[in-house]
Amino acid sequence: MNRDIRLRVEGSLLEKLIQRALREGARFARVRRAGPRAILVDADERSAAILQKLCERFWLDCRVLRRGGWAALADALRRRWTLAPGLALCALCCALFLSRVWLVDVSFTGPSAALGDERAIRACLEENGVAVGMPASRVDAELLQSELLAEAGDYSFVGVRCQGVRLLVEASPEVPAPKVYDLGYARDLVAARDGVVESVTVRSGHAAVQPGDTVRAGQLLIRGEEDLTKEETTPVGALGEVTARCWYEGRAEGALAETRLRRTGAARVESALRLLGFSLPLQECESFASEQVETQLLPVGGLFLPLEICRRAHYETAPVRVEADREQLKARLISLAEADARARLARDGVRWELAEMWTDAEVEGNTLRVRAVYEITTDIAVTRDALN
Amino acid sequence: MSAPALEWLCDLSERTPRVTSIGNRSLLVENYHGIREFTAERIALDTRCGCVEVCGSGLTLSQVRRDALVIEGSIRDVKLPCAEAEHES
Repeated sequence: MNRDIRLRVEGSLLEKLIQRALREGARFARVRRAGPRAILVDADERSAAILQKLCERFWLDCRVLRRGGWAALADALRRRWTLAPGLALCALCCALFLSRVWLVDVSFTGPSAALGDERAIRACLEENGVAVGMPASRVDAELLQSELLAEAGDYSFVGVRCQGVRLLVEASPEVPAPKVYDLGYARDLVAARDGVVESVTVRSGHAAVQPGDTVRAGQLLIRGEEDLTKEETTPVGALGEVTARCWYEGRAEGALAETRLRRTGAARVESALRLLGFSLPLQECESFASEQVETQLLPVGGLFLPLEICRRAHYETAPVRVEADREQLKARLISLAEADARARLARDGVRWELAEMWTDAEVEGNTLRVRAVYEITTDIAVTRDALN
Repeated sequence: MSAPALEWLCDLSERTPRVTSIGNRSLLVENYHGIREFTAERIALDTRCGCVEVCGSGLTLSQVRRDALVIEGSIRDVKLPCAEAEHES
């Protein structure tokens, strides 16, 4: 028993009306009193029709207050007949929109993702007819993969997927071939820079240092020889890593006080009338021993006559010593010294891990000197050729 | 077979009114003949035995069918004429 329709019936002997409707097969979900001569009836469509017919027969006032369910939906659709075509048109537009590629994304994966060349991939896609707005059905993913693998550069994997309106191209650049050492080529590994050895890993040759040793740049770290017997050795190419703790310094300095020129308040003015290259002095004055001069040009002849008055104001100045804000200066110098140390690290082009970093400052006369020290751990083993 | 065992059969055949109360918010009345009076404070139903009166406030009829209905609202008092008749006799 649903309550699709709510009726309001007004009149007398409404109990009899309800009873009569029940006898004729009606069922009511809810009957409420809305006043001494009115009731509200919730009923399904069939029962409401029975009740309305009885009201009509007995001259009772019966009004539909609310209509719900399928009947209401049908009524609403009849009233807004443009809704269905509108929805259909909207669905058609959505289908048209979603059936095309509107976004082409290129992403690189794998350990050498940084080596990927997105521009080359996109150029290759364009050559193969892939463009924003093309129908997704025309994208042949397998063919595109093959073309990209063949043309777009050195990639170990290329995947093309169509995800809705997005064409995703995933490429994994080839891992560069590792440096190949000729084991038969004898050579030693030496220290690239000063440091304290933390660990020694020898893959070929003999270690010449051990953890805790202090080494200088150029000192032998791994000797390129292998034992054949107890007495006899053979030269080999030394391989291995020697991790050491190294220090990089950056420095910066600045003046604690500086001398600036400040105006004393005394001023003199001179002026002259000028026309092209000619000048007629109007007012003259002497210069100060130390001064600042401000010049003003005042046009008097209008746009077509370049006549102007040149007015020069001389302001007397005196040197004044100005103390710098020491904390601000120190903070600025620390950041400069750190940048200097990082620049040195970048210039050496080493892979490093920061172990510790500190700064110190000292005052010498009128100068504040700041030193930033980066303590890093890095592999310092290089061949003699690389050192030179 | 004893008489109490056949009472349910008697109910079926004679269409005796049955009133079932669920707390004081809902009352199921079965086997009624007609609605004599229906206001928010009083509902009177005709049955074979007489008139069943329900008094309270905010009374409404729900699930109204030809032979059964549910009275909802704050029910204060239910008068059953058959019981009264038995008591009087």
